[in-house]
Amino acid sequence: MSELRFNELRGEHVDYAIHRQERTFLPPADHCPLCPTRPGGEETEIPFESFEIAVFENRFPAFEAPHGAAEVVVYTDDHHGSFATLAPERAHALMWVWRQRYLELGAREDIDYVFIFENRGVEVGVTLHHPHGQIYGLPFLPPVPAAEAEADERLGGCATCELLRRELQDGRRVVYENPEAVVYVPYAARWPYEAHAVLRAHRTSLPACAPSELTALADALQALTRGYDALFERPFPYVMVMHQAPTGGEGHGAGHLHVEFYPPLRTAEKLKYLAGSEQGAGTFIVDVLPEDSAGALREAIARAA
Amino acid sequence: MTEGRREHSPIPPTEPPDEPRRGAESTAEFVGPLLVEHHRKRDGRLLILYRTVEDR
Repeated sequence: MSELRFNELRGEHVDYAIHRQERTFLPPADHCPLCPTRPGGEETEIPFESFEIAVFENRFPAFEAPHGAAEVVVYTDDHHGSFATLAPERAHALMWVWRQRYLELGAREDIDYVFIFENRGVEVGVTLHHPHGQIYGLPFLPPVPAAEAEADERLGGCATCELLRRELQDGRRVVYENPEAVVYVPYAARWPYEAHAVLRAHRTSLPACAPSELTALADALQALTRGYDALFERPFPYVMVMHQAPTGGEGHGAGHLHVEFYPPLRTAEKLKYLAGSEQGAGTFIVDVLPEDSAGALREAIARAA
Repeated sequence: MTEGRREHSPIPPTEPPDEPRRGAESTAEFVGPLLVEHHRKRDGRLLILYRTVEDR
């Protein structure tokens, strides 16, 4: 079982999940627990010979009932590839999966925030290469979405809507647009190639979206991740997080659905580390101007299209 | 649309379940263009499989 403690000095929760020390760590492809179970082979997490998308409760959960949830979302039964290389139809289907998990987990009394995310690449701590993401059902409102709610108050309305308006007006940091979604490098990005994918319309969560908006958001996410891979012509590591309205507790029902990417690379070979200033002062020092990284990313997305 | 634990049914839109492919305890339903099958693994953990259904 995990133990949740509150760090008074930081004003945030810390989750102790010591059983996760034993979790599977970078197994060879023929022992991947996220692959389908082959006839006569050892049983994997998915005891079927093939599947499209699978979700299961994490064997090594950071959160579990009655104090939250931890799920694994397997995007495909193909061990190789990534979110970027999924067929568009599969990416569209994944939006419906995330939508369904948001509703089902959000309906639970012990979950206040449904946090959908993906870690890609060993640079951000991935322990399994098979294309997958995760979902945490958190029994509290975590600090980053809470800060976004404070931004709403500071800006006198939906901060995400206001920032999107400013980005579209400026235009220099917009890297991708379709009729219903926009991707941009934020004016004050904390990572050299940070990008946010935002729906043009104010939608609090995936269930609030029209089917066409789910499709448009999936297309935007794939355009961006394909552009990331084209940028340095290598698999591009990132942390992808989806922010939606809290499903309980403080701020219940408020927010603006969007997806943020935090890639750790600052060049094709060099990583951006969180060091003294970032960890101790909370102030990011960035080596690349967002306008310049947006220009490079825009070209990479065009090349990858 | 308002989201929330007490303001919506858990998994809309739902239609009468199809026949599950495997397992006596499995259940199935439609969510958007997907057929959703709920299973229990041997150790009791939830496993959900999603399958695209043509011409929904």
